Amino acid sequence: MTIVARSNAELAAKARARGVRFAGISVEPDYAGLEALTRLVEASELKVQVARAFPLEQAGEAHRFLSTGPAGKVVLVPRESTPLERAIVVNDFVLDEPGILALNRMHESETSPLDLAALRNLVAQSFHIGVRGAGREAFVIALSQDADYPSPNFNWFKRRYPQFVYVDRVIVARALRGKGLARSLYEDLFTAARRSAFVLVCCEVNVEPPNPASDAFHMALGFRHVGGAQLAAGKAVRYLARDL
Amino acid sequence: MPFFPRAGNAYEEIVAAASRQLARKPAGVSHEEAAALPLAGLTAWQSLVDVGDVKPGNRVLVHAGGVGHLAAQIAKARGACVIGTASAGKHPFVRSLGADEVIDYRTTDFADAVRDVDVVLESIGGD
Repeated sequence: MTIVARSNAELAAKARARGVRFAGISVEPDYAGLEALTRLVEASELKVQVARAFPLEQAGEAHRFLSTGPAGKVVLVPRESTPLERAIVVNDFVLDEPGILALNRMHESETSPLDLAALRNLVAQSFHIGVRGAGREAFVIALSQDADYPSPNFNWFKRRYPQFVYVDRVIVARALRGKGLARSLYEDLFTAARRSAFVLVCCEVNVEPPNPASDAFHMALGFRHVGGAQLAAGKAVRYLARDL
Repeated sequence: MPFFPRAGNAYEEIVAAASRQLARKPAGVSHEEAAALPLAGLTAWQSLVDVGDVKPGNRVLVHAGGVGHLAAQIAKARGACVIGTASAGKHPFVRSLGADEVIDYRTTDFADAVRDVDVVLESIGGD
């Protein structure tokens, strides 16, 4: 096996003539591979050798050092790493904004109205976005405690918990209910939150107007009641939290 | 690790990536060590495991370097016998990675010196 152009016909022919299997590879994104490497590192079976780390500003210097053939990897370090809670991780690069807004409009009473500017603000601040069908079929938007979000519900949690993931809204198109879409969106969210070392996921469910299906769904996912509030315009909510 | 180099945007401070391309940082290592792992580590992993299907008892030849030093350890962890090539100065380092035999490629042609190898990880030929 060799790491050269996959289409290196000359080498491939040479290898075949000697009865050797030849395969070129080009490295690809690989979550399972990364997890396997992580397990090896944590079992002390794999240690990466860092020859030297340079600040990003000294990238030129780093290349000069690299050309001297050091033993191990050369690392560039950005000036200030962005806190993980603020990193925008999108499961699916394609967000159908009009589709998301249309789906949200059908469910304004259970969630809240959303226009394009508000959606983009939420996406920019999000800890996690999950979508099915680019958001036309289902989506979830979740924030961390660091978001700047004037929602009374978000701020209820912010006053009580130092660190959490807040599910701002999760919506599944009516025609696609009962297929496990919401559950799978939540499972992706739990996985992402655990990986970033969060221990709590929060959300609210309406009591007035009542939404018993949502309440039962969240209970089945392991959420528990942690409080409630009477909001403007006769709306009342129940606050839910789930440990990770 | 996103697709590299295009979406990986080397030298960018922030990149957007699909969550399925990311994994948590291993516990107990520095961010610098963790940053050095994905590209070289996945190259070694995909070569040895996905393509080479290295099994216990296989004899695996690797060349010292960014990919090679990780490949040697991965092959070792899978129960293989590892033969490393490196210049003499790096032999203690290559042995510390678990290599069973080390060859100085400056004095010895490994094509002559090595026999009965099941998998060769060749990362020095071409780009």
